[in-house]
Amino acid sequence: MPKAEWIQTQDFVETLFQVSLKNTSTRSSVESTEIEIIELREAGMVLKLPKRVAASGHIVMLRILRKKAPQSHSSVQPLEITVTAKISTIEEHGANSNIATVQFYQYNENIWLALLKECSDRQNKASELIKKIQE
Amino acid sequence: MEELTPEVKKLTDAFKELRFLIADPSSSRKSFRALLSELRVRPNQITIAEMASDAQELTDKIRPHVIIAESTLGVQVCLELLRKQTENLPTEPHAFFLVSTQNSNSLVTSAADENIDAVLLKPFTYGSIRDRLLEVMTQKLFPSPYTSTLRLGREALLAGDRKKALQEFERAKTLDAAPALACAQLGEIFQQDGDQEAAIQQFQEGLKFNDKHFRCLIGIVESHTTLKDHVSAYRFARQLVQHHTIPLKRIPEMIRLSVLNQQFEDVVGFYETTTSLETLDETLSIYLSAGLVICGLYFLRRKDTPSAISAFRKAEIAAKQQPRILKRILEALISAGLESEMKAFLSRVPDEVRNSVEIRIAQIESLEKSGSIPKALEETLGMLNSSKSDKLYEIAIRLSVKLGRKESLVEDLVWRAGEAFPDKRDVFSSLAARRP
Repeated sequence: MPKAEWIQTQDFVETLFQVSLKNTSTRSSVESTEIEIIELREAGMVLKLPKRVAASGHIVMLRILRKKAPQSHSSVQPLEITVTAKISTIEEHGANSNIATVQFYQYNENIWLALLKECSDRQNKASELIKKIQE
Repeated sequence: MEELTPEVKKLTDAFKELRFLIADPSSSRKSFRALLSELRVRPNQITIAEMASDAQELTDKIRPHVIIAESTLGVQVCLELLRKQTENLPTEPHAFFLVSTQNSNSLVTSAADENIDAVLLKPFTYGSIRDRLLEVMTQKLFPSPYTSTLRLGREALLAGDRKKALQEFERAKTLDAAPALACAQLGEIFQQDGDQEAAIQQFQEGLKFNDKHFRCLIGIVESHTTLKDHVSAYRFARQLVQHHTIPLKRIPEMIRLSVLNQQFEDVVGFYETTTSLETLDETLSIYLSAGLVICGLYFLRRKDTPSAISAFRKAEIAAKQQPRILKRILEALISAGLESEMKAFLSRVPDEVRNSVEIRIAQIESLEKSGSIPKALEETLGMLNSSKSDKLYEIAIRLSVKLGRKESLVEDLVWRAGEAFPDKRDVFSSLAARRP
């Protein structure tokens, strides 16, 4: 058996998600650094947004980017998807944020489903790693 | 509300007796509340903590069976919550879920090594967090006879009843076809007793059932290291790395083993990997740079100067300007007489490091070594005007004696040194007594 490296760069690679939002109802935009993706759904997402950028019923354009960091250590290429969605619910979350549920209308279903599968696989891999350590 | 399957229904019935804490300073609580609600957990069973201090207080106050904690609380806070939870519920089932946007294999194995039951990666899907919660809670609430006996052993250990713990772990061995974990637990008890031979026996028995077993491999590496059998420790550590991602906190030990076994190419391998990362853990960088300095010294002994210089250069990069390590590099360059390398090295380090006491002492020692003793003494006395260091006084006395300075001047130095460092008076006096 070849001598394994003690540590592998791939073991330190992180999957990052970024999403930027353009509110077509109010013509305002929000940068990805101000938005957090919490939950992915079959045709939608739950996001944490700054207050006053969107209201229930607003139509928004979302640009979602999945990338690996550092990219130089991953063979997985960045993946991007643009989505037209509607803010279906919005709830206050602390003094500066809202939690918004968005429902997708126009999007590439194949890319989105691939992204969902990737997240699910990543979670399964994490659980396998934990089992291997704790069994 | 959707109807539950009989298996999930059985689990949710057991949930009725449990308390849940969601420690979430950011944003996940809505999803977890919805999940717990679907699993028939009543709102009064769920407590939310927004801040780390609240989470710690509530863990003691409500003694939650299930903690769902966001990693943004901070690693130390999460580990503290886990410790409190285990302490507060020594004989009751409990589970700890860590919610994290960081999702590298290294982070996950590090969490598992700390006995966190599951890492829930953000962003998550509802299905994935539901599956994980049900899976972990089924194991906790309806354990197999083997798992249940192991838990009794751990409870006895927590209660300080070593004898009962040994009995339970021995009994557990009879309840599973491959009881490697029971062997690991027994080995860990013997380790605590200081009986490394007995511990190794248990770990070896466990490895017969499963030659990749993490805790048996970690245990046997630790026991051999304690016995200073570094060759065996290294052999098992290599076996470990063939099958597992090494948790971050264990890496310094692996670097140390590589150095002790003179496996210097391994240390260079650690360097190549870690320096390509955006962030490097501080402890790791200290071990790595110290290991590389030892590599360099080894190459110097073998008269392989280019390899030595390369190792010192890598050590310098890994050291991230820590004066203690940079001083060791400088000392090594001085002792090897690599003057041009030493000058180049000093030109690279920032002013605050170049002017640090450690580096200036190394420079003074270099002057002394090259025969410029009056200059070395002048520098030392100059430094003593602004920095009081016992090492500086020692050098000043030694150099004064070497130069044959007046007895009264040497005595004055010894007196001043003794006033500044009373517990080292004897050392200063003995240095002064070495007059020819």
